[in-house]
Amino acid sequence: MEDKRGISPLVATIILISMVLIISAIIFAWARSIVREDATKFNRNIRLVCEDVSFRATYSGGTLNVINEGNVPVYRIKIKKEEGPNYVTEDITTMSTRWPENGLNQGGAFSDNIASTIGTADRIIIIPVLVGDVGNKQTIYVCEDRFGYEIEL
Amino acid sequence: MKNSIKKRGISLMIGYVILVSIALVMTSIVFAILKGYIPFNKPECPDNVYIYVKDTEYDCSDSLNLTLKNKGNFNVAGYFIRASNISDEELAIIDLTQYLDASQSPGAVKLMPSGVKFQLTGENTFAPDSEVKHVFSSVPFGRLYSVEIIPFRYEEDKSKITLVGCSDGAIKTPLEC
Repeated sequence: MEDKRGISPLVATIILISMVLIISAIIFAWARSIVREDATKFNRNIRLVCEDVSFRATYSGGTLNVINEGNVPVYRIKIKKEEGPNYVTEDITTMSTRWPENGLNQGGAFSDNIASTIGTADRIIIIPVLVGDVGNKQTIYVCEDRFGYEIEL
Repeated sequence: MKNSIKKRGISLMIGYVILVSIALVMTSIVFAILKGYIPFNKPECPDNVYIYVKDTEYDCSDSLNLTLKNKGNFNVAGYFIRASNISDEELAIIDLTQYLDASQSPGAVKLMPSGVKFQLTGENTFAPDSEVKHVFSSVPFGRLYSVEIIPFRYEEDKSKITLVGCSDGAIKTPLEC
């Protein structure tokens, strides 16, 4: 009769489970560096928060007025100036010094003359820029154009 | 006689360990990616939250008295107030919060940078059918033509209190001299 020696089943189970956990942790740590983590805001993917941004804007006599009517703070706005097929997008802070440093909170308003920077654009699109969280850091996220506010000039 | 083909491979046990590990890792990665897309009920203003300006006293200079009344069905915590100094301006841009005269506006508190609360507490204290008079003075923008008020409430969401603006209840009132 052959004498077969081996590990006790209990010890084997413990070793297997430990190996699974260790290998999982190693692969996860490796994969985390490859998979880009999306920014979140209010515990939701920041792309979804763009849908909740609500603001109104008018442009008259060279003065741009923006009011945040929603419940999502707007950190910045980008102005996309379209002239025919061409367009240029600029941050509001390069066009005006009056934009609040912390952005427009709920009920916040902005008004400034930006005629000199608008030029001969036919249309402008005001695109909200939000601040989101990635891990323990904050990052800026520019919403897609479809969430912008269009003004025909 | 059978030809025994020697095939070499990973031990079955090691294979199971690797498979289970990969399954766990993929599960956690997919969860991390998708957890931000899980829909949930975000705090919103209930319907029929409405403050209206019952009376105005405006000296066409720098002092504005507003008598506000809650005509909605829900308590309100405060309001955002903006005015316009252009007669046909579509958007009222001038935030009047900082010009609130708290000494003549009983209980009113400025919520900087924008907003006036009816009481200092973080609760919705302005009940339906309540009335209050608030005074805004030393407003340095010349003649004001209209004032826009948007009420806000505190809403609870997962034991967290959030200030929620009720833009559906916004009202715009012309100011007569």
